Amino acid sequence: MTQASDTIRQRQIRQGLIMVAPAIAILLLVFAYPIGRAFWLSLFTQNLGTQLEATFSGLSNYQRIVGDGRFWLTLWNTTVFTSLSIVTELIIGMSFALILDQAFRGRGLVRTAALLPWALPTAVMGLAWAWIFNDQFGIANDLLTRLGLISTNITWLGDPTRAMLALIFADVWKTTPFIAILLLAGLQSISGDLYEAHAIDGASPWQSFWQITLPLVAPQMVIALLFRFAQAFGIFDLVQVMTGGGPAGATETVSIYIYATVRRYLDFGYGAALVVVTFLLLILAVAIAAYFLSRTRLNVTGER
Amino acid sequence: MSTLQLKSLRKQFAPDVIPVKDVNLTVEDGEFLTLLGPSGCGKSTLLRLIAGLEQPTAGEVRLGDQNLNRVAPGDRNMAMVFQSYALYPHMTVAENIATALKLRDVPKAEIQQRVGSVSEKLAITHLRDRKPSKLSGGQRQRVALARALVREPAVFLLDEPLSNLDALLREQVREDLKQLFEEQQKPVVYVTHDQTEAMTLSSKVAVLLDGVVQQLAEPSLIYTQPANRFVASFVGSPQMNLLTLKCEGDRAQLGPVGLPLPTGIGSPSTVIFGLRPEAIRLAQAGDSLKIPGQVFLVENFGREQLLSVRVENSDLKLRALIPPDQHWERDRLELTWTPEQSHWFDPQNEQRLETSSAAQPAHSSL
Amino acid sequence: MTVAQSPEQSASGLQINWQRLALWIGVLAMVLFCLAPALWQLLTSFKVNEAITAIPNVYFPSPSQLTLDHYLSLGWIFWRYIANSAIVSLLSTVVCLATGAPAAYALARLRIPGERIILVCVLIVSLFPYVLLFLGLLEVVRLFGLGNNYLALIVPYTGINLPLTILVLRSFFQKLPQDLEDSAKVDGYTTAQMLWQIVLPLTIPALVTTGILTFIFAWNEFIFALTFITRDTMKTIPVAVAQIGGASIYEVPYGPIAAATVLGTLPLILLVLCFQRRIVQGITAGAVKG
Repeated sequence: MTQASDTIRQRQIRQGLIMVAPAIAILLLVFAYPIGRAFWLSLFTQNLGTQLEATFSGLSNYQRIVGDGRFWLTLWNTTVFTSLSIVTELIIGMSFALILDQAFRGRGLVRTAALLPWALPTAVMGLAWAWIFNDQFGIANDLLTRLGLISTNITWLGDPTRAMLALIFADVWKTTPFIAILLLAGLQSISGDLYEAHAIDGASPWQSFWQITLPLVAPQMVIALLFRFAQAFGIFDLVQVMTGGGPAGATETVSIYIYATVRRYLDFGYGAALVVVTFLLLILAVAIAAYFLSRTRLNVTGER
Repeated sequence: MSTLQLKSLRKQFAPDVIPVKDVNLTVEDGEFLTLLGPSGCGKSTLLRLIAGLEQPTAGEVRLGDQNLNRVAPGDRNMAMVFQSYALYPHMTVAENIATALKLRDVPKAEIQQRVGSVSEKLAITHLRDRKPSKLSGGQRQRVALARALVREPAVFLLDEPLSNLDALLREQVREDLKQLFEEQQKPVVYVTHDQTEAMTLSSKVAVLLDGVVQQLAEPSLIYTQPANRFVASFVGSPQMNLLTLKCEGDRAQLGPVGLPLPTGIGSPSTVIFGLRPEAIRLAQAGDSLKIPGQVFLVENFGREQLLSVRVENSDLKLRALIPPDQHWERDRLELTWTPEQSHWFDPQNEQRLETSSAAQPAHSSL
Repeated sequence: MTVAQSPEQSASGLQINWQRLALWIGVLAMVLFCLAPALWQLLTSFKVNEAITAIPNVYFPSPSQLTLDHYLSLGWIFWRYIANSAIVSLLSTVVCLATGAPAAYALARLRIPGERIILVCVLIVSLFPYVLLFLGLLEVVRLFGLGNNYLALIVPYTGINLPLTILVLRSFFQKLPQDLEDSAKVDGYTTAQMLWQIVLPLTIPALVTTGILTFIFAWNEFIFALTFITRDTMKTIPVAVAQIGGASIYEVPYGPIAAATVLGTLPLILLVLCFQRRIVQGITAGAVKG
């Protein structure tokens, strides 16, 4: 029998710390170090001009960002892409969730089908979408022609607005399942009694949707939006594969710009500053979302 | 050989959450101590403190002459039976029983032999290769017992082991338990909220409320000499009648009748008068004490009937348990009891008022 | 069978049918929306080049328009890509579970100091886009000379999947009855033994769920694979497929790309087919627990 010198609780804490240590170490290496390093590196100029030697330059990288029209354009592009795609995803995802919440034969299979886009690699499916939106042979043009909506083939990925639309369409396809699954979980947690009671009170299904369904799935909606916002804001593979940021930078997102700055222009210091700014913007947005999340949760419990 | 001792044991979770407050208890070999109390009284926390699953804020758990405060649960040589039985769902019955022995590197042959004999004793040998999910509630309970017994530990801890059984089975298992643990001759600490279990199984009962031991005594004394108003009301079913009565001189006024106060308690202005329903009977011609009253509710249990009676000229109510064949005219009747069966409590601190005539009860107080 | 009854019946029958009809149209539209791009790619992969570039598009190719040439054109190297993806994804999944499970257990039960802070950080970190990380990781990779090494992907993939693993497993661990672990403690299990012999065997479904999600995310990752791996024989599927088109400027090889898409996503499609329920469970547990 061991009569250890420290208490049971102390031993428990020590064991706990040992158990989290490897995971924490990996998380620090993969997340904390790169972000922290970016903060540090953003204070240096390290590019071809300095022969890739890091020379301290204070906040000059940040000054450069302020005057960097290309950055602001990519930020605008990212914002357009993010807001349009997550709003569309939310609407379509909600319809999917409502459909999947019904009882019908073969629901399991339909759910499997609905999950598929989520599971496929974005980069690979980006190629499929590029093929679909091909100017000459793409099925998008073919279908529109058959429907009589267009008479001659239109340029998709070569046109600034339509390229953005094509990207958003592909992103919606890819990520709607994620939102639908989260919302479905929310829908399934709502008791049927509520709808029945509401119907007895004389409410139409449409009113029930607005007065019961939406408020009660609000937490899941905010969570889904939060995750999707962060992902869409950092969108890289889809754009890289489908348009490469073109035409003429019309679909260049922040992450594409960061990647090009580092990999093509080898401007590490400036790339780091871009990383820092993007990071801070993201944290700000997440903080706002988290604030709303805590409020909706309160509301929901209050109403219940 | 082994004595389990709790010294000034205290557990505090938050400034105002103190499930166990300064508990002192001793359980000797062969003693069966029951911790009895309503839910939230701290009895389960106390058991977990003994097992080492919780760490005390202050005080000691001792086994023999060893302080266990820093000894891990697995090294305390105690076996515990959980309310949910906590059988490992992925192990067969035999593996469940053997697991603690394996961890202690007991030789294979001995494990087999011990598991075999315990299984036989509890009549679960035929279940040895089943998983817990394929067992009935009673079978699971016996496997849980076997898992504790096979270890031959220094102390047995049981946390409401009967509460998940249906009523019929519970009665039978209660008898088995009693025999089983009498054979073991080890300290047993048993937690329950069921007074019948406490009364029938234990050699000693500790009644708990708000983390404090209200009374520690043999089961019969808990019933006949409750140490305070709480114990009086918690033990016994139907509940003891507890009435606050005004006193005049050496008499307490119960409706039209002045009950003589026992000697030795002085002359308080009010007193709490306690009387068990089963101590009351219908008055007959020769009885000197006769309380007239009006019946306003009759609950017939078959074996007996429970009358709720409003004492004449007052708002006081008495409940009386009388044989089912007794009758009375209209709603009116007269009740009586022998004065020795009444209990008296101080209205301020709610402690039992010791009467000089009655023998001093042997309850070791806090 | 009276004449008066039948119109009523058909009217109410029609009413119900309308609702069902709307539902089925919705279901059909949803399935079509989700599957069409993949199916089109599947069809493309089997069509001869003339059928691929035919105007108007060929939706129902004749037998003479079908071919396996695109698959054959991928060559042996494509199996190498699949093997690379499989190795990297499997190993990072294993490492992720091996480090994530103990951490999740400690965060679920051992009440370690700083538990809340760790959880909040883990949650926030799971929102980071990978593009913010690749610059710093690139330096680490160079520092340790890990370029074109599986480790350069395994470690980051473990990292990006750890938050989800920890959150999902923790929520499953918390659902285990506490009595089992208490009983194990009294029986003499150490924390490590308890985790290995009691907790993990009872949460195998959760481990499978998390493992599948981790595997899918690792298989699909693009930016790290693009940055840290430059040698052709080390490439993973997403990068390899994306770069098939890069070989010739004038003619994009749509057929081979489609064939590569089909082959490269087949493992994922199988996973989704077999484990649809678990994946849904994992996605919800990972997000709702936040």
